[in-house]
Amino acid sequence: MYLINSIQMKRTVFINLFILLFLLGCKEEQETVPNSSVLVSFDSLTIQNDTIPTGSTTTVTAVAQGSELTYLWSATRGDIVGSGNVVTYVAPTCVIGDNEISCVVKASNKSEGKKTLVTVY
Amino acid sequence: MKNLVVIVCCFCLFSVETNAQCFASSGNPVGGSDNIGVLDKQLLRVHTFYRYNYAGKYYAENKTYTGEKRILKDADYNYAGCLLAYGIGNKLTVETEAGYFINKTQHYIVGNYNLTGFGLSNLLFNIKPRLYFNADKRIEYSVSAGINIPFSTDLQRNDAGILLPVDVQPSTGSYGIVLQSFLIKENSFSGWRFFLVNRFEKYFENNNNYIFGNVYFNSFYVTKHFVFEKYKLKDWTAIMQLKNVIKDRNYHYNQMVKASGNVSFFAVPQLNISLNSWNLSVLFEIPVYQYYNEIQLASSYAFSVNVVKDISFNKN
Repeated sequence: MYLINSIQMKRTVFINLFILLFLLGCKEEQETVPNSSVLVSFDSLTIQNDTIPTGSTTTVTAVAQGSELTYLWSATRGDIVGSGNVVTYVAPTCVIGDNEISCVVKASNKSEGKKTLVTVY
Repeated sequence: MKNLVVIVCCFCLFSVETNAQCFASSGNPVGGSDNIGVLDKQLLRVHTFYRYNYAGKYYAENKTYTGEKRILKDADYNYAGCLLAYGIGNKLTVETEAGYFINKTQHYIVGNYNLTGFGLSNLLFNIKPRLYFNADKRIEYSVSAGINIPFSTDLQRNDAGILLPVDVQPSTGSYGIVLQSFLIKENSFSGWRFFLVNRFEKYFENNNNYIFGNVYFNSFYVTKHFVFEKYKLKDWTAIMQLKNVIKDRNYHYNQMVKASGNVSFFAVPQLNISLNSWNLSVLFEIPVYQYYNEIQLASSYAFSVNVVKDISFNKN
């Protein structure tokens, strides 16, 4: 009986470890930059409206020169949706105040970042 | 008492109500599994579960909100978790649990955009001593203390390079503590059982300068065991849980997030089938009262499927 239980336990542990490893393996690699990408210059980061009410949105645009550029977006508070060099900043009700929006343009030769502010009321 | 802890296996461990706008979740979601009481000596419990949670309407305080400040259509997540518990002695159980968000998604009104996070959540180590046990009166009281460890302290970006909001991050990114207490009373002759479970979660600041509010769970369960001798699946248990969740406001960069925190009450009917050392249960979680600070997306419903297997190493 003990032997059977031991085998059962090993089997159960093995299955769980297998599932865990599988799930870990599913995690995609992010922020990869193409080897041939080139950043010449990150010229500007502009926001359409720098003061917006909660529940509204505004467009943020990054202008950069180069090829195969990767744009990494973040906001201290609030959500960013979209992709590429033009994204939309969304202001939920929980982000009242000044919030910083950052964009880093990455290429294989270098990276540059810029920030802009949006005030949510 | 052994059967009791086996049957009641699908409750509030890793309790997080939902993920939604301004409703940043902490810890792992309800599987939910809660090993009520301690395990028998040298008993290993393997508990796997799946949970789906949907949040589809906004609340402003205790009323539904349909105004202009909504930015999300809805939000949902799919979560798979595994819990291992082992009875070191008859009065002491150790537990560990980990989980994986298959997806944690917000659907935006603007532009039909979605933001989705996925990945491993948190790891919990728990130690649970039994403080009181009266076999004659069928009463047990035990407590537990645990630490919550994030699988990652780095925040996740999506494929478009956008740093995901805290509500769809798979992990809190922060360490935490979890304290629980379990009061059990059963009547073996009538098949009725009663449980009172209290749980407290505290999370520390993560790398994004975010602190999730403390969470308090209070749950009362009534269970009724049915035996249908004519059938192979003869052991059934019907369970009704009344759950109260109080979530304090979050803090970001030392500033209170006003539109966070809530008080909710849920009814959670559950059905459990036992066969030998296997248990299968399903539960459905329905909010009966919700109060949200400011305007927040609120939980609409959740359901969970749980499979529990007990393996005894006790030769006696």
